[in-house]
Amino acid sequence: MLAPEQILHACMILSVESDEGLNADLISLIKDALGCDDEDHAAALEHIDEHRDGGKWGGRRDAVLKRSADRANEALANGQLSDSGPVADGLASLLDEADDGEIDPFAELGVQAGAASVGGAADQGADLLAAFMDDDEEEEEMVDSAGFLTETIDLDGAPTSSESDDESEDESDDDDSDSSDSTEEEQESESTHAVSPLAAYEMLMSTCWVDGILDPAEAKLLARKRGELSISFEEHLTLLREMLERES
Amino acid sequence: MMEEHTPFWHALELAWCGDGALSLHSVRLLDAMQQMISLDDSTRAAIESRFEEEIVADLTRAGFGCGDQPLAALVGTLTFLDDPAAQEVARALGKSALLAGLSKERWLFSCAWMDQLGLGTPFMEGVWLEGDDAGELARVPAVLVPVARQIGLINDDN
Repeated sequence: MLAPEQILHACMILSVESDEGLNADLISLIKDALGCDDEDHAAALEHIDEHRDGGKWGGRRDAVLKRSADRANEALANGQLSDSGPVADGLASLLDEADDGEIDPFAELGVQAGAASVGGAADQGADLLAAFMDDDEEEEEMVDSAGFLTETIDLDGAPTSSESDDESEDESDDDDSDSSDSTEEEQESESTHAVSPLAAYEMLMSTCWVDGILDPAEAKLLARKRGELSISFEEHLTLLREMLERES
Repeated sequence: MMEEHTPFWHALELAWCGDGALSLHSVRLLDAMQQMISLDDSTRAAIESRFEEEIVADLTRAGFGCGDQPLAALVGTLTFLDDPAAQEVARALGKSALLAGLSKERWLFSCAWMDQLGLGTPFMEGVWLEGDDAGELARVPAVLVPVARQIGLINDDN
């Protein structure tokens, strides 16, 4: 269940980013419906002013809008906001705008909404969507539990950590415990398929000569790699000869 | 080894292609060259037989083997191989080739030429920055001019 101030914040973002701009009347209705006070409203507004970045949201506009729409939809779905009346109508309009131009992931993935399933088409659609959304780790990291951005953007445009990073990291640590086994398996799998030093060096050498000209920087890189990988000059010449013979 | 890019192939061109005839003097010069670059008989036989098939067969005689003069000049340049600095010069030439931008074609030509002179290893080390840093190339010995021209260090103007 989302906190009321989270929902209010999400709705305000959707409203601010709509074509008409912030709809004070609609936000006031939502605020009252959620039981939020002026302080919640002011805090959300202050956060939006601080991070909006002229609508670019530090280059993460799409992610922020998507997360806000998700929160509004969730509030409508679980009854925290009425699914009828002026609030619902206003939100529906905002959500329609937020959906404009979005790519349907199911269509892109070739998943048909009417496909047969044990739980029915609607359930399957919801499950698939949930699975799809679970991949949004990047978005999880950029928006905290309160719906605020977890990173601020410095003057150079480079992200800098905010105080909420620590909290979200702590939470994600717990979540990661389930996935640690699979991560280890993946690492083992990667090490099993590790490329031999000679193969890696040959790959690097062919890359260095991919433009047809060897330059000093490339020769230096290869010389350094020979040292790091303990590849002799004779082995280097053999690999080179084989590579050139294959190409001829 | 790409035979057509070797000094001995070049010597055969000098000996034959001036007027489509090979003089006895040229034959002796070729023998001398074989010894100077320590070319074994089988390798020489392979080069000469291919040269005769691909080049000599299409020549038309127009003289008495005037190619011995430029061939003698080439053989004279081989004394450079006795120079103690030859290895270092080869390394420097390799580094210069790298700095000039080395294509695969240039690499293959250069290696074929330098290998037959016994200077392949230092040249390759110079190209691939192996071992001690190669020095600067002060001047190009005559026997290495074809390589220097091939890798773009010198052109017909200089």
